[in-house]
Amino acid sequence: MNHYGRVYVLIIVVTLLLQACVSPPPGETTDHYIAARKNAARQLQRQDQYAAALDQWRIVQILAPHDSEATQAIATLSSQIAQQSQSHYARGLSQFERGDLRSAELNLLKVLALQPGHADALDHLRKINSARMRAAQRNKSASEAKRYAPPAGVQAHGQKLTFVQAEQLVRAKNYQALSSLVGSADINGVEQRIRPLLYEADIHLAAQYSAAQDHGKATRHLERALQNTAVAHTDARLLKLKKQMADDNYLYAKGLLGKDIDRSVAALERALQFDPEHSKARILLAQASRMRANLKRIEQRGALQ
Amino acid sequence: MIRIDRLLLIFFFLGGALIPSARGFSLAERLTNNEIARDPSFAIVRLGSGETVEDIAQRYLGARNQAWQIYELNGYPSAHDNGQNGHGVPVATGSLLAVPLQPVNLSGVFADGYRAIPILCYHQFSPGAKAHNQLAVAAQVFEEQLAYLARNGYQVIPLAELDAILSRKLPIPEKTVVLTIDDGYRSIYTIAYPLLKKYNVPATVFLYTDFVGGNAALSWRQLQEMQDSGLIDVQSHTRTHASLAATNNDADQSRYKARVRDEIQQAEKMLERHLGKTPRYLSYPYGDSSDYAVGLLRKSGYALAMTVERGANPSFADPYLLRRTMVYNNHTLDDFKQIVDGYVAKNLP
Repeated sequence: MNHYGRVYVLIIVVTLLLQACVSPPPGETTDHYIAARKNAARQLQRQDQYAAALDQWRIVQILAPHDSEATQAIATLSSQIAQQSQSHYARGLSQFERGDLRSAELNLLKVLALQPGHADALDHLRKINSARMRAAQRNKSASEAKRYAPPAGVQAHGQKLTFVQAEQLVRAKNYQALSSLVGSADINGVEQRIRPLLYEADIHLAAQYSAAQDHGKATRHLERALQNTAVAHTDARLLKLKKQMADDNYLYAKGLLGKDIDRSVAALERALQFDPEHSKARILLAQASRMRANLKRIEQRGALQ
Repeated sequence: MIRIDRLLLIFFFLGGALIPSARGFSLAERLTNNEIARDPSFAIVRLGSGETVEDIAQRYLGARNQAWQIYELNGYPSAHDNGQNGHGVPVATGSLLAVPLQPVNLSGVFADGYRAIPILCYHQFSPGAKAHNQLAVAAQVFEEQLAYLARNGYQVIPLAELDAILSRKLPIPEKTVVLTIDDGYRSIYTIAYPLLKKYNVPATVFLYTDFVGGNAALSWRQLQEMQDSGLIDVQSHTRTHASLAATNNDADQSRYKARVRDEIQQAEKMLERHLGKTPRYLSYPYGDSSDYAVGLLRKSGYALAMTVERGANPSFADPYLLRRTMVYNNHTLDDFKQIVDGYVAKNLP
């Protein structure tokens, strides 16, 4: 070896020595990490979190492919998971096909707790979820409440409505559209300038529904008009409507007396709310209340015997 | 005589040995990004000096905010347990970490229940401590809510991430919420936006396009500015805010369908024209949908649509009928805590 060759060898030896001297920061040993993962796996298994426990054993196996405890645990857990999830899935599927969505949901969730990526279980759960949401939406649009009590999110439709829009709707006699836009919002939440326009819409709609014998809707519009303090309640149309609605409710209650005493009493109370001087309604309410009390007493006696 | 090129070689060797590595471990580990083993499901990685779990998440999972997957798999207190909002959870340099190369729990279902993501729905904001309108949330109350989320390690994710979760591309994290604001009131810009920036929280504004430019509404310039920030995503709330369910005013099916098409497509055109974007998400006005509206949205390339049915959304939620919970001015912080708690407890062993 010539001089240069010796220098190179020396340089390499020094380099390796220096490399060894530059001590890396203390790192976690694989043994320590494996022990931690094994502990985590055992703890998860005790908590019935089999899928997560299996993941921990698989991590152990990457670092220690010949670890017999990990091999054994993986075999046992895999077979346990496969067996149980298969049985839950079969049960869930048959319940789903029978339309027993509640039980199907529980079994499909059990499948996912064991095999969190089970695509078929996820697909079926999504179908169940979809069916429920569609039913909720259908019920919502079908119910009368939708027209008068919109969903929670739109309780203050009046806030979205501008004065100009409201004015245009009233001018076009599109009272229903204005009423729908306001929805069931508390009248106090509606912009001050829009309230007289809403009052106008309610008076017209109450009269229309009263003429069509739709007491429920007519009553709701009249009640909202009465709550609307933006206008003085001396309007002749309002007074006339109150009389009319008192009569309507009285006649409605009379027809219900022999069929549905509770609804009859409620209608008579409404009649008196609109016209406290309605003597016929007052007399009938006294009779109906007595009848209801007697019926209750008879029912109670029947229950005791 | 030692030539200059040989001298350089000497310096190269000595330098390589003397300058401490940024990672600080064996040459083999350095060459493999500190990865010491892997199989198709997991990589085992050593945390280098100056490196964070978020860096590893970026390298392996493509995003820093996916670090929670690594924390969770390795049994570290997840971000929400120490209130660090996913950042700065102390993991010692040199620690070994398993990194999931594919999601370990895609559905978020466990033996004791499942994870679900609440989507919060706001409308208006008012200055000060108290709002006088049911749908307006006072600035102070909104800030308390954002502070609560940050303090308690909630991740506020954009709708794009929820989209990825429901498409089974990402697993569902614990303690996650989505923020949405309907209609397009100006108070979004004047009150909510500065607070969202302060807390670095993303939100989606669902805009009904006919409202823009109105007295109380946002302008297109304000919308553009918020969108450019990357924090606010502007999406569709239809054109006029009319219900997409069939109503008494719809004379027949064909007119109803034409009306729904118009509501969706005209809003789309306006968003494209003014903000240069095609909406992918929609919130139903009044929360009302219909089979026709859902079908149309699906066909038109929308990925998510939301109602105002209360509740949170699990990984198996219907992407076109998502639940959303309204936040009102009379909600206390305790009410808010309940709303954002998305875990559904169930005994499933």
